[in-house]
Amino acid sequence: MIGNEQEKEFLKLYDDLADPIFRHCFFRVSDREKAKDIMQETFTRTWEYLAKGETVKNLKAFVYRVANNLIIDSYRKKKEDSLDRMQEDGFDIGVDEREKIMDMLSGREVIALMADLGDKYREVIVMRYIDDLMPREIAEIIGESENVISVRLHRGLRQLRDLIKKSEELS
Amino acid sequence: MKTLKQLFNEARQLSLTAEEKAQAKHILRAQMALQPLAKPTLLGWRLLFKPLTLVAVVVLLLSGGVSLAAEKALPGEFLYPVKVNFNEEMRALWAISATAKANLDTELATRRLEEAEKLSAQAKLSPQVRAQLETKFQAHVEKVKTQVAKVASQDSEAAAAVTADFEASLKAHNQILTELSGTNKRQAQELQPILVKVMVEQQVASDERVKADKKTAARADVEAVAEGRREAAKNKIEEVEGFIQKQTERSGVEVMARAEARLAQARKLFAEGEVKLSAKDYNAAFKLFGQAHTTAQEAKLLARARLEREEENDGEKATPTPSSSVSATPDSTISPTSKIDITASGSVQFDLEEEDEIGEGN
Repeated sequence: MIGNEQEKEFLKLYDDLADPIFRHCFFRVSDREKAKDIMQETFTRTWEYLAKGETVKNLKAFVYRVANNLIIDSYRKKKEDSLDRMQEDGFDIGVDEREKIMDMLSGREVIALMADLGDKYREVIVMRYIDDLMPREIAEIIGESENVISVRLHRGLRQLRDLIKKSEELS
Repeated sequence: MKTLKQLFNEARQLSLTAEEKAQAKHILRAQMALQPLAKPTLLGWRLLFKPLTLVAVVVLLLSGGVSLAAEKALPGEFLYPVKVNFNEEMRALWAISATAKANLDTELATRRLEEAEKLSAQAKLSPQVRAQLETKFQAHVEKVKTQVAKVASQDSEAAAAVTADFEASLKAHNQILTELSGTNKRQAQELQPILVKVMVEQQVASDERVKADKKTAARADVEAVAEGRREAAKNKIEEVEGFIQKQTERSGVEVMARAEARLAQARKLFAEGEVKLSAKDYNAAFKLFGQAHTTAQEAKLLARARLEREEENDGEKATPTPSSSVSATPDSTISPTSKIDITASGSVQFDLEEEDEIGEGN
């Protein structure tokens, strides 16, 4: 088959990026199952885009961008769900689940810290220090200038350090 | 508490289990199979992502010297495979509608005839090549018929137009082959089988046209059909007038005399159609306009064939042109003073190129 070569290459791309994308999603949505779903959806969507014959310049950046958009969508969905549930059950959501994760996973301290960090900062911090992407790559994925990314990283790190200091003072 | 660096390092250890990763891959594979790539390409991944590059390569090849020179190649010549396997295949890719396909196969069938005529005039038509050309001609003819049937199921008038063009082409080559056969015994013998095939197909096309015309005559909007054909015939006659006039300035009145006579016939038929139209005899009118149209087309094909022969003679008299289709060995059956009207002909695909060469020759 003619498309075979491309399919193979795409599956290789999956092998290379499945873990990094999963990790990225995990530290953004704080939910292992949800992170897995988003990772799966990311590759499916990317393939659908390519299958339409669309042009992609930087495939890795493109995959991250798809994941990023799906994560933002999931935030919105969560908000809607929360609102629904608030109407039905009152204000008792989210807390249990987060604690459960923190108990069972590596990187739980990071999660705990990240939870208090605004997503604007969390996004770039995860990309830079966990996904190991360069500021230039992050800029391409998010669609901001490299300068904006550098400033955000700087402020995000400062906030994180403050958060660590605070938790040390508390304990 | 750990440092940030330690925390991040720990976070980086997180991964899917091998099982999770394999399972997700399995799902992905299934989804990929459901949605195969829309534009697979033999040229690979990079080109897939850059369709413009692919287009550029094709344009380069199509506009390039190789492809252009190949257009005039004859069977047995180095570039002939490029002409048949690349140039013609590329054009087949662009011919999407049934009408476009039928028109293309009409042209390709005509090309095979032209090649046989040209080779015969150069005394280079071997029995094998002749058999091959015959087979290919027949294959294109069959494709025309299939496509015409498809067109007819949707638009009988469009099918009639395609059939009429096909018939005009066969008619013109019937003449050309007949005259070539009259040149000498060898040509008469080697062209006989092809001539018979052309005559048979011409008859079939003619019958088809008559049938289609009958259907058209029964249509409620026959007046509109007559008007439409009148316009088409008028345009065609004007087009051929322009073509012949241009060539007459170059090659002289004598060379174009036969085509000119055919064109005069087309004008006459057109005038008769006008009379019928104003008498509201739409049935007669649309048939006459159709005939005028095909006769004009025939005139053009005759002019073109004649033109190619002149060009060939010039090429043999003077220094050979770069074109591969011009034989280096003079052919005794063709000379500028020969009485044969039409000899070899090849298809003129790139007018500018042709004109340049003709200009040089004169």
